[in-house]
Amino acid sequence: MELPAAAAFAAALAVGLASMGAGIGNGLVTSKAVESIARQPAARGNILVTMFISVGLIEALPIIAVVIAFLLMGNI
Amino acid sequence: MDFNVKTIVMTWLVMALLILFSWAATRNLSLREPKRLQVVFEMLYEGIRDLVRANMDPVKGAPLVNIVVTLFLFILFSNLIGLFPSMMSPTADYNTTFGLAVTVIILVQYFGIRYKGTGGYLKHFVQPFVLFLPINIVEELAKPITLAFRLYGNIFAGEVLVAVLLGMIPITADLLGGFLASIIWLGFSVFVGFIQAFIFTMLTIAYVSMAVGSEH
Repeated sequence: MELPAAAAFAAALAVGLASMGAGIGNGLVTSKAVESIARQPAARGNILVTMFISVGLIEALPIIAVVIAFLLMGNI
Repeated sequence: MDFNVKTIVMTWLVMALLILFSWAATRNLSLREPKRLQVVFEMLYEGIRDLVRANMDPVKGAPLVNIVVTLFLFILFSNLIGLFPSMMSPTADYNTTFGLAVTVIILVQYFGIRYKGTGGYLKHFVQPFVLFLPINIVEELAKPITLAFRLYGNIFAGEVLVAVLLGMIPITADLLGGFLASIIWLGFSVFVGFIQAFIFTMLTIAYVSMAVGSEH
C-alpha cells in the first residue's frame, strides 16, 4: 500500500475511533450529571462545574488523536 | 534555531491587549458605583479566589490566586484571538503551551518544597511504598505533558477546522466553502476557548493543592 493511501486510511481511522471514545465517555459523564441534578437541584452549580471539568479532561486524548489525524493528512 | 514569527507577534498582541484590559478595568476604582469593566474583573477575581479557597488552605493558597488569574486571562485571550480573521492563537503552537505547562510544574514543585521542606516533599515520592517511585515519577511527568497537549490540541484542531470549513485548504473548495458551518463552528470555538482556559486553571489549582496538602 503506498503512503498516501495508507495515510488517508489511518487519518480516518484515528478520527473515527477518537470520536467514538469521546462520545461514549462524555455521554456517561453527562448522564450521571443530569441524574445528580435531578436528585438534588440545589447542587446544580457545583455539579455543572464538575461536569465541564470532566468533559475537558475526557476530551484531551481524543483531541490529541485528531491532531495526529491532521498531521497524517499532510502526507496524502 | 528557527522562530515562529507569527506566534511571537501574536503573543505580543495578546500581552498588549491584556495590559490594556487590566489598566482599563482598574483605573478610578470605586466602591459604591463601580463601572462595568471593574465589575467583570472583580467577578473573575472572586470566582478564581473561591476556587482556590475551596481546594486548599486559604493561607497557603493566597499567593497562588494572582498567578492563576494571570494564567487564566492570558490563556483566555490567546484562545479567543485566533478566531479573528487572519489572526493566529499563540496557544495553537505547541511551544507556547509547553512553556505554560513547564511553568506550572515548576510552580508546583516550588509550592511543595516551600510548604513541606525539601526532604518532606521528596519523601512523598516514595510513599506509600518504595516501589511506587516509578509510578509517582511518571505521574509527575504526565501532568505537564497532558496539560500542554490538551490545550494545544483543542485550540489547534479548532483553528484547522475553521480553515477547512472556509475552504482555504484545497480539498475541493467551492465558492465560500462551508460558510454557515464555519459560523457555527466559530461559536463553538469561543465556548471551547473558555472551557480550556478554565480547565488549565483548575488543574493548576488541583496540582498545587495536592503538593501542599497534608492528607498523606
